[in-house]
Amino acid sequence: MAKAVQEPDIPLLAVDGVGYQYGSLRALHDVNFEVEDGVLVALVGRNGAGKSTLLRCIAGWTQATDGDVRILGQSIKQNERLVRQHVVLVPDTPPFYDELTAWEHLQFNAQAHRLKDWEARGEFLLERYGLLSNRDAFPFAFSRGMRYKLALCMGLLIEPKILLLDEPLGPLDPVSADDLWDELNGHRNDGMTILLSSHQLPQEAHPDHYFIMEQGEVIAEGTPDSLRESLNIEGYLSLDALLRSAIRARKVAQPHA
Amino acid sequence: MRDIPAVLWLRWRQFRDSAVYWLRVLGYQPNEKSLSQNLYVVYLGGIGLLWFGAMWTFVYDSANNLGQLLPLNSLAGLLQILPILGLAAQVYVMVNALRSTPLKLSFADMAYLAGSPISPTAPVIVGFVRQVILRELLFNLGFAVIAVFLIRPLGPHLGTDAVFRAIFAAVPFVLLTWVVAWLFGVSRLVFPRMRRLSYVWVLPLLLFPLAYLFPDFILWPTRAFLLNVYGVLPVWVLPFLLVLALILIYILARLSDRVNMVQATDESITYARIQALGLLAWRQIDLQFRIRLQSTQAVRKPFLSLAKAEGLWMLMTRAGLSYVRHPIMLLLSFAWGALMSYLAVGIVANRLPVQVWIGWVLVASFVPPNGLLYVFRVDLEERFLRQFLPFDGFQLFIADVLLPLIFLIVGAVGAWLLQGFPPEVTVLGIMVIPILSIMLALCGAVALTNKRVLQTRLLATGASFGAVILAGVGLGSPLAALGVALFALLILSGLVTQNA
Repeated sequence: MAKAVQEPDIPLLAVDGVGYQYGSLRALHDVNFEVEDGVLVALVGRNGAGKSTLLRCIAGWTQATDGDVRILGQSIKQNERLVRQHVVLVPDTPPFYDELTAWEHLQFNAQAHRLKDWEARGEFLLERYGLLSNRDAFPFAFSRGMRYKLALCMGLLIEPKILLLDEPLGPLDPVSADDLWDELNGHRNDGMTILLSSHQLPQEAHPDHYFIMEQGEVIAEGTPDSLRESLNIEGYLSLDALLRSAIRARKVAQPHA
Repeated sequence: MRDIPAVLWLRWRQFRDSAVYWLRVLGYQPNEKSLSQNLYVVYLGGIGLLWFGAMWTFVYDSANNLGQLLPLNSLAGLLQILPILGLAAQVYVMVNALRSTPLKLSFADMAYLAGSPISPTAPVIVGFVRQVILRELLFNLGFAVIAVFLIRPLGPHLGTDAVFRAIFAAVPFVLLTWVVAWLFGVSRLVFPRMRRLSYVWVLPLLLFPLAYLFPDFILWPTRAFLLNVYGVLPVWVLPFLLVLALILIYILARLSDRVNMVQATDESITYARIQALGLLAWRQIDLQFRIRLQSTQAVRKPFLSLAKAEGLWMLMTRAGLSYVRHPIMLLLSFAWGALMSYLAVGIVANRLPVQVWIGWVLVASFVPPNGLLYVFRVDLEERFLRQFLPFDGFQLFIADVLLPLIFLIVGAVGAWLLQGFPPEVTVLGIMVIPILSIMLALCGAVALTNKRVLQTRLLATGASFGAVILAGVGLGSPLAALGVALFALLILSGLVTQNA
């Protein structure tokens, strides 16, 4: 499998006019953005805003009804294998094989991607996420948080360029959530791009970029500083404040939206 | 005993709500509280009764006609077998009660019944009564049909009395069977020592050798039932059995007061998970099956481990491990292959018309061999897992399906060989079976790549098998059928590669 080489002007991820229609429900409408290497992006929005659908479209799990998603300049419609090589999505409730233990999930994953000498990293990941003592247990017997952590380990084992996380902090206890955030910072510093959707972030969390979604559209985006300025937010930049201010600003700009 | 009304009220409310739920599915609007809605319920009830009556009459009439055709020597043989079948049913009920508590608790029951100071007698007795009432209804109708079938060979005017005698005999028969099973099951929840004997459920199986040694002592319940059907059972026996059942129910009530509800909760988890699915549990039987497999797997240590391999071999070893850990899937494929092959033999040997072949294809489409695509289905349906598999759909199909496909082919070829056809038919069958089996698997795989699984499977199986049968029967040439089958294989493989 040849590794795709990133050219200087081509963004790692480009979302071009992506729309998704589900029956009469418009889940996404004309979503456009680009994401570079080694950034941590938070997708913020209310329930049903389209965050999960957008992540599924980026991962190629759902075919966008309009527009396209490009990874390293190549359309995922034309090069599905590229997506599997570089993008991993961990959904909010990840499924597992009933017959494989936690360790066998990592082993199978490593073998499928022809990884060499992966065992040490596999053990490191399981230990880091507190699952090493359960390595020979079946994931269906795990708690929701443990299942999410195992799914993360599976994703991180293959070191994707883009890691998509749907509600990663929901099933985790506060200590694990803080630990996860530290981990994600570490991966970002190593050059991994992380897009996560969340309703809550630890206080110490500082994403590089925010996309605020409402009714299937990105209604505001920017770095924390630019958003603080454009949305007139004073004090701590909480997700709650971001979301409320963005919705208010949109109502002022488009009263009939 | 004081708590029984409270539990009864709870169960009545649950029954009523679930009845309203099913009526809502059929268009009833309970919130309107209008006369038209009430009339609609009466109308639905009437239609239901009419349908049920018509179906039962059809079954009863069929049994009546079949009974007239039954020779007396066959009847004598049947009367020898029936007590053993009756014993098998009783053993099955006892084994079930010993393997897992007969007192089944839902998640809500665990929270509010098991966690309350209510005496365990109340949920046990109400649960027992509820189960027995349903069984009585079911078995009374079934026994009535059996009775008319058994009495007809003796004369055309004997039917009605025998039916009523069968229904009367069924009451203590069912009551005794279930109260004994519940006594066993509840004893496990009362006596920790008995609970620790993990293979205690094997004990009822000893009744089979005992029945061989002491038939009068073991087989008397079904024999008594049969004697009553023919009107030769002494009058005092049924009241005696009824009194015996009531005494056992009293013992059950006394014993159940000491039930360990924590244990009952532990053993009810699987039931509660299935029950929580609601309607989905019936719409997706395989989901129920998966939950049951998980619960048996959870108490076992992982058997064997994943072999180190690469590429397609890696996929095959994983699929192999899945099947080794769930061998029932392989057995199902084997049994399916053998049964469908056996039916095909019947159609070929008796030169039955093409309509019967259509029926065969419909059975293959509606009741597919679920074990065949068990691993492939998980790989395909769970997008999280699929993203970690850098293989195209056809590679995945080959690796995931190969092992159960071999079992299916072995079962089918075995059933074909055992029929003792002339050599040319045997050889032709052995050539055709693998091709048709692969075609069947591909039809299932194509269906899984589409959102409308059932419709796609029907279309794919009907079109491909239909074309093969038409070519074979219409043109009268097995070679033409083979050619069409190979063409269908190419198209189906292309679809799987493209879409999976």
